[in-house]
Amino acid sequence: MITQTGRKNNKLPASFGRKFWGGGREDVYDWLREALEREFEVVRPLKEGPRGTIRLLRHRETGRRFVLRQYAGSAEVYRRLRDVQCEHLPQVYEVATRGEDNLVLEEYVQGDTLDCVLRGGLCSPRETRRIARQVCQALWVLHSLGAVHRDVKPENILLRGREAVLIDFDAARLHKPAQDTDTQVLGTTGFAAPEQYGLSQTDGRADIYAMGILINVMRTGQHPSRKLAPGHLGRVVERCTQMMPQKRYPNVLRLMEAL
Amino acid sequence: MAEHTEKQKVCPHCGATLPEEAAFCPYCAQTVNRRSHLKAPAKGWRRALMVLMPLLLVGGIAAGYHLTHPQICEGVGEVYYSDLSGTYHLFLSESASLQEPVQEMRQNAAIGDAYRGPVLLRVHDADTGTDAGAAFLEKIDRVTAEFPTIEGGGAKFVCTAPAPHSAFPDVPLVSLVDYTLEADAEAAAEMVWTIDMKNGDTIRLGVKYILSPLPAEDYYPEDVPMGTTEELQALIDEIAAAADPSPNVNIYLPALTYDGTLVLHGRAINLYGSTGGEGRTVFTGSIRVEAREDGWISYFQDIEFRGNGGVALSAAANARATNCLFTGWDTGLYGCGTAWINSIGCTFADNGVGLHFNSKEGSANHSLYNDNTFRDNGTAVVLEQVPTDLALNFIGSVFEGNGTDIDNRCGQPLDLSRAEFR
Repeated sequence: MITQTGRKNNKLPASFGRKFWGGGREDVYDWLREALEREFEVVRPLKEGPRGTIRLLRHRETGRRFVLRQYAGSAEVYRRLRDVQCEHLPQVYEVATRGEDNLVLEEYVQGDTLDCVLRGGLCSPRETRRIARQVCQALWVLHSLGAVHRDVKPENILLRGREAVLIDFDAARLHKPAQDTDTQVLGTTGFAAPEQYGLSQTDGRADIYAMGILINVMRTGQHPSRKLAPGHLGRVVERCTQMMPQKRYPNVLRLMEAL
Repeated sequence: MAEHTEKQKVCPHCGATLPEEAAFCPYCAQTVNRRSHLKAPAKGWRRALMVLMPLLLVGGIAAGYHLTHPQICEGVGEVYYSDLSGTYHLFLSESASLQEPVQEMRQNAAIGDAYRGPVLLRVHDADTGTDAGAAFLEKIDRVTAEFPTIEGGGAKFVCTAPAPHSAFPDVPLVSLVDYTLEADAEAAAEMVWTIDMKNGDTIRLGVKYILSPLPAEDYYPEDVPMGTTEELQALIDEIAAAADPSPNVNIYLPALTYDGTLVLHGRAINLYGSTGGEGRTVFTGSIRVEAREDGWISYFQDIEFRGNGGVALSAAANARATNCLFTGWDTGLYGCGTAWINSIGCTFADNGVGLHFNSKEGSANHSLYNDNTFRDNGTAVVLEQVPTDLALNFIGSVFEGNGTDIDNRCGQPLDLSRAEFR
């Protein structure tokens, strides 16, 4: 466990380097957990849920802040993100897995969620396009890695100045074309694409559906079936939210072009 | 500092020893792996124009179309629909107690078994959240439901035309879905409701049905001792005590006569009597199904209950008798507690009471009591307490020579239109 007020101690234990390093991922898990316990302190919990916890950490030596996710499930998407950099995704620093349990250390992105911003008022068409394009950039990276986010919604978009950062990949999974069905039903009701609830393989077009809802919510605050965004953005929303995935934009690049 | 091995590396920033797989040094908080900087390709303006121009043209045409033509609303699980009088929140749900939209209905199904379940359409005023079903029904010209596509194969889905249903008096429209899983693999189908409004608008609502094969554990007399009531009870006790037993437990009984009382407890267990040429499976003692909360149904099929007073099959949890004979008992089939009991294709002959429904709580799992024969009983059917107001349908059942055919003490709705009274 990481303690809230652990005393500063940079000394390594005598067993360090022998006890924990067998070369496997589970050994890295132990090593990382112990190192985090020693070198970081918990600033505050950010979120707790049935599937895990998210905590804000501070590196004792440098004062830098990080986010630590501990959750059960697949960490494959985080593992792939560990080797890439994109200004619209939080940097994933380290991933360690033991059985079903995962530790993910990632960049702390300071800013308000889009959800919070929308409570204060709707976005202008220009703002909507800018934020949507930036989220598309993040999705393009994810899709390029063979992953689908599956939970694109205002609560998962942080606004860092003029930059939108897509966060929370707990629901993300890798797209495997040969696979018949998703193993778990995840996502947020209202934002999740229809096929995400069923047997069709979730691919990048599920995120495009959620993008359509997101764009509409930014402009109108409501689900498109209740109030469609006016003008060109409304038509983009309509295309994104077609019931049949084949009728949506085929990829985020096309959606970005439309925006 | 620890000694280096081939599984270790050194942090280039602070010199700390790290596992070879480490991407981050927790001691100096610096990354130690190579990262690719990924960015979506720059917008190709010429390509964008080529794409956008036709789209804008189509969009313009579409906008013109929308201004002059009726609207089409689509949604999965729920949709908001507005007309001149207001906005309605339409959503599908799977039970009367659930007021939340459902996008997906997951069901376990034993291969080859037929199941039926309702899909309910609810309509609320979007602004107040109050029920607006009655007002909305007035605006509907026609409504249909269908399963246009079935994924994965190996399953059949059909549904009834949406209509009001006596079991769900507060729900404007209900469609009953019949489904059968025919192969040992998951299958799914999308159910689509199409609501044509009198003003020309169309609303389409979808919901996914996903069927998963019910894992089954089968017990046969050639594999497991079940030659006496004691052996059978021991088997049932063992199954009930198993930490994680398969959800569907089937015991195929030999052509024997069991005496003494048998108790089913802990979980649902299905008993199948012998149907071969070597004779029937007979119980001369009672079977008691003890109370449970899991809602699973215990099935009794092709069994003869031949008694001399007492209760043949007493169920405090859901039970269904199919093709069984009940004769010589004070009561043949008795339901109490939270049990929903059904008899289909059974014969009740020479009993004090054939079927006695006396359950205070619980939910309905089947409305049909079809193709039974009630003959020469004191009272064929006693309905003392029946949970829910679902109409019990005795289609194809025959009542003959009974002192009283149906003693409907609780005033349960009945459909006797296709029952035969001789």
